[in-house]
Amino acid sequence: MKNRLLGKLAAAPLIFVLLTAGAATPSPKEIIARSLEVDPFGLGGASVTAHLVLKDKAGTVRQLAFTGRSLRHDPPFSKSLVRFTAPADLAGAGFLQVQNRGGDDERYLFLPELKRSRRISGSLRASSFMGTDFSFADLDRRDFREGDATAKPDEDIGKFPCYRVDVAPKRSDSPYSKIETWIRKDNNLPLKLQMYDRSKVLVKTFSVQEVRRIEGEWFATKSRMTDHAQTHTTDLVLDAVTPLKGAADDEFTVRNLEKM
Amino acid sequence: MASYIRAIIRWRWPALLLLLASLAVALYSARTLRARFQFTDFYTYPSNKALPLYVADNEEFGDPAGYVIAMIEADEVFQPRVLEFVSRLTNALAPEPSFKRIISLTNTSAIRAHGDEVMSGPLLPELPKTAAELAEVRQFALHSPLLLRRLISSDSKTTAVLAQMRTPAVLATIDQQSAAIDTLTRVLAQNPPPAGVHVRVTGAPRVEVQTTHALTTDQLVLTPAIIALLVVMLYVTFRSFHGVMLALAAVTTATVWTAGIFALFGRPADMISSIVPTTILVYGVVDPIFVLTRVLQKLDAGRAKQAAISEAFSELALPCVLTSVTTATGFAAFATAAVPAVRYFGITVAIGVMLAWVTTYTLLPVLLAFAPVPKRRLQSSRLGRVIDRALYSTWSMLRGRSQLAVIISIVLFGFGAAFAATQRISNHYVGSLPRGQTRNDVDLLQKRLTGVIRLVVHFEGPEDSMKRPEVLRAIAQIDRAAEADPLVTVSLSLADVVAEANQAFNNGDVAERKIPNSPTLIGQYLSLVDRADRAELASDDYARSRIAILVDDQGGNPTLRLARDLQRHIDEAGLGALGVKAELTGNGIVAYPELDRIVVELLWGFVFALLAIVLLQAALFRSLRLALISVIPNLLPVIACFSVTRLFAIDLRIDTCLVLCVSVGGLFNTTIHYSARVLQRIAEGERDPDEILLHSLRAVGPPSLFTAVVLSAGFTVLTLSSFYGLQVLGLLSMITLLTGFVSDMVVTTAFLRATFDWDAALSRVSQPALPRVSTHMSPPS
Repeated sequence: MKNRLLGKLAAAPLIFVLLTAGAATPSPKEIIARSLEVDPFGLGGASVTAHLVLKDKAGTVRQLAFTGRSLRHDPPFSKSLVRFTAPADLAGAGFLQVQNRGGDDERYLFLPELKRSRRISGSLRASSFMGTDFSFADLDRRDFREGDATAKPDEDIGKFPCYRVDVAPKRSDSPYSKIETWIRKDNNLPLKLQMYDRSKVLVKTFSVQEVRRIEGEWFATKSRMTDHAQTHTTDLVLDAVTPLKGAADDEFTVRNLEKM
Repeated sequence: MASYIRAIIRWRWPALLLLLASLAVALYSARTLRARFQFTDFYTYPSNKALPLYVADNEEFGDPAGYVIAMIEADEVFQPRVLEFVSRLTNALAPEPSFKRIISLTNTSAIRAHGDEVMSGPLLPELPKTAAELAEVRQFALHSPLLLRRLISSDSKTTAVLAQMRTPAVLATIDQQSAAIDTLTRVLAQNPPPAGVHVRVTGAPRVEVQTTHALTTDQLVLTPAIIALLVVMLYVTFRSFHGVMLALAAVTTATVWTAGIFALFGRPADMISSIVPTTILVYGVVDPIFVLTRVLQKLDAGRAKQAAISEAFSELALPCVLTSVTTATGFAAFATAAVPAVRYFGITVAIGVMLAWVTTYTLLPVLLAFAPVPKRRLQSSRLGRVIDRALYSTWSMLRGRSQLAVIISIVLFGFGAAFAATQRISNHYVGSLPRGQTRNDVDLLQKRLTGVIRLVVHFEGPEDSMKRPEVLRAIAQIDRAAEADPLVTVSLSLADVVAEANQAFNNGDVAERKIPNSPTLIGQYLSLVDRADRAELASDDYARSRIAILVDDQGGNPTLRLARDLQRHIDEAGLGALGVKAELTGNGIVAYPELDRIVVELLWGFVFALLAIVLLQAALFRSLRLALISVIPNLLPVIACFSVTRLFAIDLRIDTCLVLCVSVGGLFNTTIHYSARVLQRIAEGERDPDEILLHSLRAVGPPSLFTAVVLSAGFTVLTLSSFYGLQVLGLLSMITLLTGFVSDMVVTTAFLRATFDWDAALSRVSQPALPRVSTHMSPPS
């Protein structure tokens, strides 16, 4: 009897180790779910001032700048209103996006020259966001929510240990067949993404160059999207970003979009 | 020469082994030879000034027609089952690594009005389910300049799935293009169309792959055919097995050597060089025919075998080397051509002709030493007697009328030259395709959807200049002018994109399909356009842009006419005042002038070759007059040839124009043999010009006739080619070479009798000597 008790006591640390180890290694789906809680671009419940630097293979550089406010209205779905401030011909143009759990996202574009907004229907997911290397699919992150996740051996990005998870998008409107992700273990921020097209050719790489923790939330304040097919890059720099708590739902309306 | 021949006969075994070893080396080298027809081969060379812009434009914006196309035909494309098939095929092709992008009605992007909304993104994010939805999409597609005739025919009975090659088609190899076509064909087999829907695999890559395939097939037909023909011709000439084999062995060895050397240049066997084997085989057989004939004549005259060989080779050494050098010089004249295809053709055939002479003077005496003496004699054949009688009759007819014959010849020359000078030069890209399914498919593609010839108006200005309303309006003006031309199937520009967006943001009002006045609004519209679509028409910084024009290929002249019209519209658009430079490029602009230039280079090459041959004759015969005498008799057949092309409205193209290349040596061969024989007869002591001419005519006539028949029949084999141009070339060569023989026998004889300085030539020979060879100079019985 005593021996049996001693045996149980001896086994206890092993069981503890196994249980905690199980808890420390989340499933790929959990890793993705945690990653989706993070708002790397400041478009899921934040106020942001940002600029984008576009560079083509000839070295030509163009810049876009915008301010944005966003609200998580049905986590992880959000509403966001972005207004461009540069270049001059885009200044004043606004973009309202409302993500919906069940149906398609709603998108409205306000062009100041026309003095009214237009609802933009149709699937834009594969299209580039205002001519940048980010597609709407990259920004809405639906492929992560709805795709199949597969764990890969962990890797480090720089000094940061990362989970490696491959996501196979399931949506027919996804431009990708596979997205390889490197998700930082300590804050669930995706540090690197590699996107493969339907031909299984690597088409784009997203990499984070600077992260900041602001008011307890992590943001990718400097990141780069590289389009390998067109030898083109877009740097996204969040010049100022703060979590936006308590924003009013009616802030994200067409009427508000049309206010210059 | 006699001692050389005796030596080579003595050392025949080592000589034979050496020749066989060289043959093996040449065969090994020739294993890398590949047939290839690519437009790019004709215009890609460093000194081509049009090339940098063309390459830069293609690298920046892509090849506007670089697609393998699945052309889908149905009663009506806008039916659920057809669109479902288009979607299925598009999705099945998307993962294929051969393709960078698949574009079809079911995934192409568009900006259009939808009630009060603007629809952006794929034209058909989901397949339409109702008749109303189908009608709405159909209505939009048939009125969108970005879709009409690119993806949908104007009667909506044909649509296309465009598979853009990962390597731009204009820069891709034939293997890459072939692999892309195979991929599309395989995917199509896995995804069969529904009943009543027909699919054709076509597009610009198909033209080059199929033409390359036909070039290879041609070689598999033409080479055995020419060898078979030579066997027949040689047998008719010599009536002996070894007479056939000796000549054939010499000429095939020269051809294999040439193939081995050509392989070292690293050039493909293209449309021009595809006739090299035929040319070498046909030309290479000329010298062996002359030599073997002379050997038989010597044997007829009672010489012993070795003496007959030695004397025949010695006597013909000068005319043979002269004809070979002149023929080679004729081809070598093309070495100055800027276009590599022409240059390497000229160099290769020149080398080949000289190698044929080498084999005649190495392999042939060796084989003659091994071979038994033929039992049958040339002059004893009935054919020989008939020819001799005809030649004698010719002389009888000319005797005393030589001056009249000269005058008639000059008059004919003048009229013929004036008539032939109106000849038109026009090449044809699609027209180079052999008749058959592929050609029909490409013709249908051009008729219903898009052309395969690309014209591009390339614009360059300061940053953001392409977004300026006045610049876009000027682009739209040129674009409209292009679209109005019946030759243009599709014309796409940034102006189309902006105008379509403006219409979409103005509730689809057709009147609003125009460039708005506000530069900021244009910028805002363009920011909505997918970057992959925009990248085909404008650079990131909007400093450069293009109008991509796809043209129904009616040949070089109509395309260049369109180019001239476009240039006029460009000049009228006033872009220069806006700080924007506009230039025409595209493969239609770069290639067609180059192809025409090749024709012009071939014409000039012929002129240089003619001059070179005349000078060479003057140097070797030491008589400028004798050299000049050969000009008109040898130009008359060329004029006869061009008169035929003019009469039957056959355009001069790179293939038909090769008649000059293949004829130049053959025409002068007989003249040179004739002149050499005349001088030889004078040297032998004959004093009567009439007797000298009669003797020379009857001595040179039979082998010259055989040569002319062999050459013309040899080139007539080209009528078996699958290419129309080569078929015409075969017939033109036959006409030219046979006319050349007649011209030599009649006009050269007349010119020699009437214009040669007989007194001076005869006075140079101090003492009459007996003829060395007694041939039958008495009137034929």
